[in-house]
Amino acid sequence: MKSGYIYRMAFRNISRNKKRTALSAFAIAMAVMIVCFMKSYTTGLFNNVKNNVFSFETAHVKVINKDYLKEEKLMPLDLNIYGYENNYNEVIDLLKKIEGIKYVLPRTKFGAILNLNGKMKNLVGFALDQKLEYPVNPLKDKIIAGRMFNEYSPGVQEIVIGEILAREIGVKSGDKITLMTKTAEDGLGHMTFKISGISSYGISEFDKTYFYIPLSAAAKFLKMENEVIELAVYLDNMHRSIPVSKKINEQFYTQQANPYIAYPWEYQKDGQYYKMFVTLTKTYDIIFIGIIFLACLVIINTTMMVIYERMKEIGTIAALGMRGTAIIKLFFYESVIISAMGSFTGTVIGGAISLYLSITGINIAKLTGGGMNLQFSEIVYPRFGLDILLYSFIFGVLISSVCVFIPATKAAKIEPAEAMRGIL
Amino acid sequence: MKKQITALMKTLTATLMATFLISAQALAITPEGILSKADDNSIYQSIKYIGTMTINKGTRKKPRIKTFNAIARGNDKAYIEFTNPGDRGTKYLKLGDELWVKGAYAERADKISGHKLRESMMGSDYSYEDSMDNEKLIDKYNPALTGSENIGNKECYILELNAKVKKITYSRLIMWVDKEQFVPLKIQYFALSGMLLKEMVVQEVKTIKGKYFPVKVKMEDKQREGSYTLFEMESVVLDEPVNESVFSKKNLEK
Amino acid sequence: MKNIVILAFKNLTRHKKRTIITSIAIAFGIALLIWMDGMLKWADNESKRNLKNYEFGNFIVCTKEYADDRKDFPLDSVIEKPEVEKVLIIAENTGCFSSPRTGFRSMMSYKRGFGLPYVVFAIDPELDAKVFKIKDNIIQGNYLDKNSEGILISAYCKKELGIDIGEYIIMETRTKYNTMQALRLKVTGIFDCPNPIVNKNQLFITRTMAENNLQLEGMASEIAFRTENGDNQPALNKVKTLLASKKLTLLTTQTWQEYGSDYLAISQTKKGGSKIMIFLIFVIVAVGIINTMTMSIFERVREMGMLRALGMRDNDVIKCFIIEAAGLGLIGSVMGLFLGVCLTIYGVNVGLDFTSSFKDMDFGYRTGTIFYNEWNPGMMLAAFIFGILCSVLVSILPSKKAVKMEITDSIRYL
Repeated sequence: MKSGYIYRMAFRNISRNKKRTALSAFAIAMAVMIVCFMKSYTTGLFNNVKNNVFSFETAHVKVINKDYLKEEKLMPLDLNIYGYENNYNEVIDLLKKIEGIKYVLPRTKFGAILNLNGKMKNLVGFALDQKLEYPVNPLKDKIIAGRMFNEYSPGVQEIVIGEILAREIGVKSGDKITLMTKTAEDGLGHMTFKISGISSYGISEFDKTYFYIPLSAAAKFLKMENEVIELAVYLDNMHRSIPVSKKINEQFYTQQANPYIAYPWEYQKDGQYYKMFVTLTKTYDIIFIGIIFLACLVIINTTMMVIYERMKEIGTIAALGMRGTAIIKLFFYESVIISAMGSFTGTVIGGAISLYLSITGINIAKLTGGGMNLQFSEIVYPRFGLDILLYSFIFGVLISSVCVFIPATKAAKIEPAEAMRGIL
Repeated sequence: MKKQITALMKTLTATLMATFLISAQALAITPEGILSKADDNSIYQSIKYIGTMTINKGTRKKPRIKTFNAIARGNDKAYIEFTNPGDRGTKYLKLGDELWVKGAYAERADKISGHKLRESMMGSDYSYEDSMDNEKLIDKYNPALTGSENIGNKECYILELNAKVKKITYSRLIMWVDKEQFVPLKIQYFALSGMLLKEMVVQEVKTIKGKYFPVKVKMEDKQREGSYTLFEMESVVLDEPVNESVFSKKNLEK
Repeated sequence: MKNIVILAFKNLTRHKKRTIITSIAIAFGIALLIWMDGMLKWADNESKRNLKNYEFGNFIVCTKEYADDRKDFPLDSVIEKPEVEKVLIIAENTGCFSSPRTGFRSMMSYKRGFGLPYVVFAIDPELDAKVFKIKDNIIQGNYLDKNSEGILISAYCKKELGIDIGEYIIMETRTKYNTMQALRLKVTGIFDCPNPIVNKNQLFITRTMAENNLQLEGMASEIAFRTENGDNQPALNKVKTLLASKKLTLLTTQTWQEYGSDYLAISQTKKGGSKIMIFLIFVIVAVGIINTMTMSIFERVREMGMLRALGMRDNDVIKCFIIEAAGLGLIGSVMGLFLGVCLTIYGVNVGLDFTSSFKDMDFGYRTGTIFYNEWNPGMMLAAFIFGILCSVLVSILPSKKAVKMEITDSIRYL
């Protein structure tokens, strides 16, 4: 029998029993939809965590003064990056020559104290170059009231502070706050800032204790005209952080009396983020495998039911002289067509849900009554991507096409007489 | 910085004021007597000077030099203004029990309180707290005379001071008091456990208006290798009228 | 009715293959649901346990000022000796374990090096071990004993200061009266606990040691309580009443929920994330059940027609099919429950070990991460009922539809 004929026969069978076709397609569609959405959701959750951690905590690679690590708890401003002769830009220039590095952002993280009616409140500040930061870490986009700070000039001392902090101390944009710190020269840093804007990252650590000032203000406030604490390095590919760090360090060794070290994100904070990522990936992988497994089961189940249900039919066509391989082909074609329809529908629905939620976000805190932390923002934006859609579609077609073989092979081997009597 | 500077530092204060107690020699030598004299010598009406602090932190940091102008009246009012480039414009004001500060870029003064008081002042081996102590040693410690020893070429009494009140920063001090001038030339500060924490050594004493005045003092942190602060005073003017308005928050925030 | 049940049962046993396929789908779904829920629940609760077991206990009794500022460990608002004793008696009367603790901010240094800030807790080793689990996490040396003169440090501190067991650490702090104190303490034990706050910041000495050196005079800055069954409320209420009746009005209580509100918020958010996962699993299990049930009913329209032709009433036909569906659901749910329980037993006792993923990275202290399961009978029951209910509900509509057909049509139905 020619394939073309079998093909037509498969089509006829599908259109003849619409209910059964719809049901099988529905099962596949649902399974594919869930796989599709699940993939978007976990990828979104993961990206969310990554963005938060990589924004200020680790970057992809951090270049710091070797001795800084030992006293990190104290945030010592004198253990900084001061360049080789003049200023930190010399180190930036050196880094820019290395392959795979996309951005190098000078930053200074420092501790400061706010005297709130006699109570000393400890805060953490970031001094940034907002122009350089923008493509990587758009603080500008996180401002919910007011505007980004302006660069320092005499009389212009501006600051952006976190949303919760602003609420706690009862200030709004336009108000002034005075902060105290220890300068890099062990002197007293004391500056009054005008709050130009309020930022919200949706992460309590950020919104509660962080504030941001331009590097030009830090030059005065911290006495760090030519120095910064760290160079945050962002790569073309974050997974290359370890080899790139190695390359950076090799480059450093060629300098005389080099005080700097490149530190990939995996090793920072005693590997806590790395561990978190690995654990998170593994957990989600397990859940994902579970869901895929279930989806497979649903598809296999439906397909098998269909075949067993049609044993008599198989017996009849076998009795009429159709060969085993042709029977398998027939069922395979049917299955491919149905699963393609189902997968397509599932991908479209799953994709639509992901697309919608990737814009609105899912407030996972609302599901439980509120809260956030360092790594998790309250709102998760599932990632909508064609790769996920394609992946889900292929998954659906492949699984159902493959698993039709088991019952179909079995059915094809059966004696027509027996089959006609109806096993099931 | 504080005491000497502005009488801000109590420790120094005791030293600073060393003085003229020449007549005292006639009195019977008791530990209380020696301590009272050392205490009494620190009474002056006012002081004005230019100070320099050289702060060494061992190999960890390069030495830092900080200069300032200081004015103090009695034991409870003091005003300092830093003049070295890195700290120009930083001002401290001590008003009784309160310590106020204002930096060059701040629009208002801030009070230093709580934990902040325990911190080092401008990275030196003095804490803010050291400067806030106004009481006389004799009111807080029971002295005992344990011997005598030469510091340089000067004969000194060795006084051991044990706290008689509970609320006290250092529970025990050992002082080497110059037998002639009644200036403490060396003071060791101990923890409750008896561990030596800090040591102050007077390196130079000048006679100003007939008073013996330590003008060069080294304060050493015995728990941190190579950590010490050299404190020097120049152009010292004693007991000349001072404009009261210097000691006001208004002046600080000017 | 009895006949209908028998008929339904016969149908189940007669079509063994179909019964098995359908119930396996249900079973796997239910098992997966139970297992994943148990794992996610464990993960959600882990941070709470870490807070209770290593940092806070179930609740603390302290002064009102202290409760507001606990993060700073102020020593100027503490519980004095007579009150400490009264509170300990209250704890005994309410059947709680309690441990008086005093936290001191200290600078710790090694070999006259630079100092790093930590919080040193003065604890009574015996009492504390009943409230906290530091003792179970000693990796080197020993836990403190009553007369120990040494200090218990964390693996993190060991790494940070570059100190090892048997060496001396210098602790600089202030006593209750703000007097400078410096002590040279021998490191007699090293712990490595899963609470990062404790691991990074807290060290332990005995109360006796602190009593002798830090002018404690019997005071404690907080008294941590652990209730026997882990439930706060009844014990907390009793303690509150007793505090009031003993006129200890300056004292207040703070629960771990109040203290760790930020911390809890984290796990709330994580829970939100987990809920979505569980929901997705639910949906897919439901789809599986709906599909197989619908299919198995459509497939048997002819059979239904036959039954009706033989004179069985429509209602009875529906009932028969519903009962059969319930039977399928029951079989699936029982198998699923059994499988789920097996997976949970494994998860509770052995767990999923992620440690090998970090083998190549040496962080100097706890790197292993094992994911365990937690028993969640509520979810097991819910999943079980869900399996049956879902099968039943799903079978109603198609069987009703099928009996509405003309008998002749349904017999001819393909």
